[in-house]
Amino acid sequence: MRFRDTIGLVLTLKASLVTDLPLSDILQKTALFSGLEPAALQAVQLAAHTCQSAAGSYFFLQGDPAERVFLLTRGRVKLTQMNPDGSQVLLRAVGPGTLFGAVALAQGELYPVSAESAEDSGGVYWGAASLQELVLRHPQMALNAMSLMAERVQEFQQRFRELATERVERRLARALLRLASQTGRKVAEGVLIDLPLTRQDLAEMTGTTLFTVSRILNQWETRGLVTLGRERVIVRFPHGLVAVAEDLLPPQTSQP
Amino acid sequence: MKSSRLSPQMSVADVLERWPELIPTFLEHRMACVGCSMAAFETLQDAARIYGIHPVRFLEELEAHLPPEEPSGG
Repeated sequence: MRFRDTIGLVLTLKASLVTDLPLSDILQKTALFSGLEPAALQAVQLAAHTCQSAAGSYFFLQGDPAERVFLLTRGRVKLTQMNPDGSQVLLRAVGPGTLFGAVALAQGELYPVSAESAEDSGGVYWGAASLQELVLRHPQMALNAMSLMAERVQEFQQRFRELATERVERRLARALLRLASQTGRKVAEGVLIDLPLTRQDLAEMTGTTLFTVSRILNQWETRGLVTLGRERVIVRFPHGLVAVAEDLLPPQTSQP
Repeated sequence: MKSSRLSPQMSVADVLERWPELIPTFLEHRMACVGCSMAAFETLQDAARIYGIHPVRFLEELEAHLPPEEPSGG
């Protein structure tokens, strides 16, 4: 496990479904920039460059020098890491309003993950040097970055504990819930995980086999917890999945 | 009855964020909504149904625990 390398790299904004807003609005809602004076925000905006990435192409590759910090404004990005045996592991899914490649804020690092566009995506980026300069001028950004990194460390600690101690069902339920809260979109049937997601991706995220993932997902589909499509998962009954993830007791009152 | 600030279609997450005063009411019903990552996707009505509480009665109960209305509220 190479958790050390991945901790704190991706800084997420909580309400991550902003899109099609003016850049200044998006920046204002991005946790890294929260609490900045309007003048500082304007400096941040002036230093930003826009970029596009077609579905299937990469913002950066694992092992590239980390020279840019990205903020996704449109689309979906998968952050993956290559195992020594050549297999790819999906570490995180990123939706609009989320920073990635933030390792570039530290000097002389390499990107520990690859950032692949799961669909046509767009965003802005900052050169590492210019963002570092902004951080030095506006210490609030350093504090923001620290709290975001602490959040990320906690997420990975939790995932590590899950892998070490929990049954596969709970791990898979938690992985789906995490993806749903990161990229979920409310649709008529439930919450669509808005990301091309294979059974293999889920197996890698939960440290199990494709066969096991398929078996559990099919059981859940029969129980009405999820609806499965080709590379698509809809969480039909979020509470049911939470109950699996958290080992909740059934509600005490009987349902009508 | 005074005009309600809550509706059955409001998301649990929005309600809890706006009125943290209501958290104890959810906890008293042993609802797992507080801090749940799916609370953004479930409405008050969904939550009441899941826990076998009558939605209208649940809303009335929440309403009773709301803080006094701010003059600017709309």
